[in-house]
Amino acid sequence: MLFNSYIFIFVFLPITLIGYFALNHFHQNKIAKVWLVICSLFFYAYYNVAYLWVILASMVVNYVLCYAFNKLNKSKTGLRRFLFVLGSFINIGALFFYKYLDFILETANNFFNTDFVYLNLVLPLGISFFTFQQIAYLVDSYKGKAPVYSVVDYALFVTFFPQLIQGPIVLHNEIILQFQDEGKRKFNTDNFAKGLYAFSLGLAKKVIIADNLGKITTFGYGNISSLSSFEAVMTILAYTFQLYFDFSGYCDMANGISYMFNIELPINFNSPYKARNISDFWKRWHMTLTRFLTNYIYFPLGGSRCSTFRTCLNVMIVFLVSGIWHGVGFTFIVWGLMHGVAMVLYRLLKKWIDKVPYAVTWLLTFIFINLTWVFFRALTISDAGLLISRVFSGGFQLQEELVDTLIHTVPIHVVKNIFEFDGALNVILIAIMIGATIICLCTKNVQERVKQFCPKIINLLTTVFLLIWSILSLSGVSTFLYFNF
Amino acid sequence: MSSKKWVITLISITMVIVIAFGALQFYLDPLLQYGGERGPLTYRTYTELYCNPGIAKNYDYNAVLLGSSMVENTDVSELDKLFGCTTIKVPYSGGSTFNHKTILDVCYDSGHQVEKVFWALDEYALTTGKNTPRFPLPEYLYDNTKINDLSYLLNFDIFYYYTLFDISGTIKNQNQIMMRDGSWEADESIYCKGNALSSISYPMTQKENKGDSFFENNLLDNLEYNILPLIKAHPETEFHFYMAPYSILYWYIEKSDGTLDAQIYDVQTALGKIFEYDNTNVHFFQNNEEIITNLDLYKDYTHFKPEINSWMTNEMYSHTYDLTKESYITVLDNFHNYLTEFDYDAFISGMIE
Repeated sequence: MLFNSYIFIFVFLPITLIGYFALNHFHQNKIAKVWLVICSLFFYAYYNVAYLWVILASMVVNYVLCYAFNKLNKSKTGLRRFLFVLGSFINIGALFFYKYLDFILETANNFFNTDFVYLNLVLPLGISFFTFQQIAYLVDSYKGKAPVYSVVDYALFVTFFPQLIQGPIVLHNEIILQFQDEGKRKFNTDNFAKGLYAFSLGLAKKVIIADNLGKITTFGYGNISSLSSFEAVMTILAYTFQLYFDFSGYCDMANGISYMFNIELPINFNSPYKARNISDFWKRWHMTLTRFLTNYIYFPLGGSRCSTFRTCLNVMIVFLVSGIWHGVGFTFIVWGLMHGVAMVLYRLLKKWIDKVPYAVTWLLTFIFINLTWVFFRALTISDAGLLISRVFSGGFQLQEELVDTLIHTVPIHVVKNIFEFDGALNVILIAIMIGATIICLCTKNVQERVKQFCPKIINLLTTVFLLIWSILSLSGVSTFLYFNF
Repeated sequence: MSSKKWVITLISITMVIVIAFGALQFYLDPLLQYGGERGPLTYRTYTELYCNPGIAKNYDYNAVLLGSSMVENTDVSELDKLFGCTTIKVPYSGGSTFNHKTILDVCYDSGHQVEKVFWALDEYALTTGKNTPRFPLPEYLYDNTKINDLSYLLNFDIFYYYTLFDISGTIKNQNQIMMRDGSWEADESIYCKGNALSSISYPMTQKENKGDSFFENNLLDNLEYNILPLIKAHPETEFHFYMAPYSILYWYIEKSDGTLDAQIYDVQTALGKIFEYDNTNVHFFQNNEEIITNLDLYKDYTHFKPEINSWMTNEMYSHTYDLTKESYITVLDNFHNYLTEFDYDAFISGMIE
């Protein structure tokens, strides 16, 4: 189920909230948690019930292993290590099986002329997220840093629906302790107001901004070879902003929903496009993933407490893993390696780079990130290269299909009707990108707004406006094919 | 302001506005989902993908005309007069057989007694993927599930592009329902050999012959999933399949691409399967040399004047161009020979001069 759907907003969320707080009201906390787990599994299985067993099996295996770590005598080091390796193998194996096996077979077929048959498996929703979350718990349990939680608490930690499908990647001690806190079991109007505020802003970021930018992106990446310079630049920028508003909007909604349950999720985005260098970017973008990779891969490899060469190698390994985690294909590997190289260069040249004025380093960082997103979004490396080359192809014109797409986007259509002159759409596109840049650079992000939230008329009206606009934009119209051929 | 007051005010205002918006959409019903033209507006149905299901569900009819842009110019009142039926027109420009099957399912599922189906088949539609609509379907308009009607009722895009459009038309007294009654309006001067010729690249490179079975998998899927089950499930319906006359330029492209043999094979195979059912008629207009070589009847290499649609309607009624189980192979073989031996270069060069 999607947050940005009628069924979620009007049916699922109210019923889940009412059930949870009603059960807690009658001091049935354990049943309330079970209710939340059941609702979360329903949320997960809404579109494809077939993969419910994957997450259930994953939870059972990990819980049993972690239970075993805690119950086994510490002196049985060999058995504990065996179980840890087994658990890691099962988690990573499941991820590889569902996400990468066809890619590996395809690569083998292409390079070695083999004839492997593809499995064409549908990727279970959120497998990358719930697998990493459980790997973290597995490692902590193995190290003796995690207690044995009850089955219900553990299931809630993994399945809690706001963070289940797209993160943030929460740690067990961040969420389970909050659910165990008696003070958080009662409906809290202040938190509910904050939650509604964050949810509405996140929904607006996703539906009003990201989805409309997505139309430009879809056109651009579908017609790379014929793009003018202007279209290529707009395509690249549109995807950069679409990705941020989409993903961070989702996380804002997740945070907002969690607030409604009196639960605070870790921050995942902290205005990443304000970053002054690549290291700063990764401290602001998908922060819980960075934390996971740092704590569970970079540090165990030795982190920076080894030779310069080894440190750089560790950085490259971390970003290679990050690239592979983000998606299937060589483009993601290239994307990860580009970031790895940039991080290594920054680490080596830090003392000089940090002396360069902010405006210069910000601009260079922003351009670099835009280029890397091209590899992230393109279907092939050659497509990515072609798109970048189209930036230098010349031309300011917009193709008919893009014009059609733009004027069938209501806000653009309204503005275009007001400003009817040659090149109006070009100007509108530039204005959109400038507007998105201003939102990213000059305004507080949603986390900051929620922290400082105080109920006022002005934020009430803004929230009402954005919420209504978003709800009425959930469906849209996919095409406007006039029947005059 | 207290948080409690803030929350209550927010939810109240939002719900009131959203419900009022939905109620207005329900009352005006721009896509005719709740009983046809029952609202106060002059409804101007002009976007097939969005308007066809409402027409199929709620109009009063016993015959259906479907196909691609080849049928958009058909005046259904001519069909009504000749065949003594009441016809709706639900075409899809560039549509696939999946589009056609989906809308026919809506017609039958909405309880209509469909006595006649006039179904223009196109070669390309026979070979498109069996589950591939021309554009993604707004399924909430096509199904009978009430819960997803929110996607229609709370849809600002539909309000902006359809409801406001109809309100504006009503105020301006623009009384036209284009898709149902008439053809799209087009300037007569666009039909000329100049436009027809400029729609192709000439000369084209001759590619190798792809062979008869090039499209066979998709063809058989389309027949098996999207066409034959409907004929079989509705013996009470008389199916009139017909194939519109593309210009000779279309066949030049197919011959150059090496797919001419495959296309004729596809038609032969499809008709062979269709003729297995008694409730079918086939009208074949593609081999009328007088029409397909007269480029002044075309605006591009396939699309012809509305007069051709009228001509086809009349000829379907008089059965002049009917194929039968016994004749179709010979007729198509002859047409195949004609297209294979036709001197395209001499014809096109002559036209260009």
